[in-house]
Amino acid sequence: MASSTSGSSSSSKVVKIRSSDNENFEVEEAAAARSETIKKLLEDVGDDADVIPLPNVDAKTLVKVMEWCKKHMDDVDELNKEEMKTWDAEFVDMDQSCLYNVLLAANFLNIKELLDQLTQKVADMIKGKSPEEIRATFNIKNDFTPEEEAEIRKQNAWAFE
Amino acid sequence: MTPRRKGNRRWKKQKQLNEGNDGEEVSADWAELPHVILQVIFEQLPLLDCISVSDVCKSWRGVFAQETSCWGSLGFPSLLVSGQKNRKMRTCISMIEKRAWEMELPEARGKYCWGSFQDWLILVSEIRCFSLDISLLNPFTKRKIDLPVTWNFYHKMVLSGIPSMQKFVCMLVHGQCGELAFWVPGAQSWHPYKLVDEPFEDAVFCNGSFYLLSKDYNIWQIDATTVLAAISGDDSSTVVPPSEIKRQFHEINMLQTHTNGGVLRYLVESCSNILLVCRFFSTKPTAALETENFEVHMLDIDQMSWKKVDNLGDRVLFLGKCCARSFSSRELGVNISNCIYFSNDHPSPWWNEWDSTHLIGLSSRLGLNNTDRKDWGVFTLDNGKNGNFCFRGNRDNWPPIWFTAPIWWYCRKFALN
Repeated sequence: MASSTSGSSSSSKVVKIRSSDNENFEVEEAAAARSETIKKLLEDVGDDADVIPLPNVDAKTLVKVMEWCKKHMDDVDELNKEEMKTWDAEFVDMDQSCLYNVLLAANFLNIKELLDQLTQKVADMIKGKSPEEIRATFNIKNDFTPEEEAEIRKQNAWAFE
Repeated sequence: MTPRRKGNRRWKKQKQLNEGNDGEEVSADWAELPHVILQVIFEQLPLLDCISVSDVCKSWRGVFAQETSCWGSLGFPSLLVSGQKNRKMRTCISMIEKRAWEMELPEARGKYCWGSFQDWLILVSEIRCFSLDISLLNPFTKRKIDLPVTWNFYHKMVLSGIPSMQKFVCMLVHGQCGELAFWVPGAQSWHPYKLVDEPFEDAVFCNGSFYLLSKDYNIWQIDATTVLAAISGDDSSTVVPPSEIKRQFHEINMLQTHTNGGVLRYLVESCSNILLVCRFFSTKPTAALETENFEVHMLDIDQMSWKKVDNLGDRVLFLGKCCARSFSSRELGVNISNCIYFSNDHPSPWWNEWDSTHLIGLSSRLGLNNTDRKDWGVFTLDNGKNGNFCFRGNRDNWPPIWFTAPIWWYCRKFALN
């Protein structure tokens, strides 16, 4: 990712961002720039930026996302790779509603690496489950009509052995 | 959107609010997650899980059901049953899911299915025994490509890539001599290309080249790019100047050669390697047409040898005439590996379904009982060690053809409005 250029700690410039519920945060620029969306906004407004509004992300989610960005601000050397892996695994292990919001935020803020980690986590939660189990896991309503359900069952009834 | 569904959603929202009042988290609406995100999630799933996912709700199903989706021609290996030339519907069997279905295929009416390339079928109709009318049909997108008519000399066709690409090469392999014929999109006719006297038993495309299996396990390699260059835009001559096509002969060592009994040899591309699968038929007169064992060898072109493969690892091979393919069991999401799925191919590679009328009724002439016999079987590479393996198949049927039923089509076929 291009954000590897943001690793220098000497220029610990701080930017202000505002969540959808109007909370302001001060974040190191190098961390905030892990988000391609913020990075682009910063480039566009230059030094005149007062505070960058993020209308799609609430404060609770933003805190979580920035926690990740801070951790991933600098390039990881070989020694710390394992430690980082453990940290990432613990990070994505959050409650389901939080996971959902962080996922949407990572998509909106365009943080590819975080998005990869979160989608992998969701994929792992789906793997090996039946449609009913998946619905239960994610609290999804079965919106197929009884006729459609019957059709699905019919397809499955063709199974042999 | 039906009023009923709206009602459901309102109910759900109300429920979420109530939960919120109890101090619980408001649950997220995973069904309505943007399709771009869902797609990234589902791309990381084995194919079998994708089927479950598509049965979860309408929105999730919609992610798969697009023809242009990133899953492309990824799908499940399935069998197209033979002997149904005059039917509008063809029977298909999905091996992995163990389910059969009828596929409407009016475009294939009156045609034999010679083989496949992923989700494309190679269809043939015979013109008075002498000529073949060949076409490529994608039964799922319904795209069709007509190829020029050619003589009924060939026992096999190999493609260099999916026919939806602009540039690809079709190669026909002659059944009586070492001759080939090439066709590329735009060419008006097949271009014959004579190589040697002996016919090639099998051929495969791998890493930009066609590989042909000649007798004694040696290999001819033909560069597809030079074929494309030699034929494209030049239809004045029907014979390709041999000098323009890059070719190479490789003398390959085979340590173990089984001389007794019938051996049917297949070339299969697997993870950019070329595999030679030898299928051994019984030598016992009382066990005619029985398959007793399989052996797999991998081409090591630097060492000029065929190396015996004892374990296929994650790979599962699907063997057949003009349709052999290797799959990753992990990508499919199935708990089978190191095995070979095969059909009841005839011990001789030279025959085609349209030349096989003399085979009809063979079973009864040989006094074989075909009751409950399947046209396909599975061989695990360890089976060979205990020596108990034996497969005959239903000899009254021409072997079915392996092809790939793409995931998007699955979800749309079983998609519900």
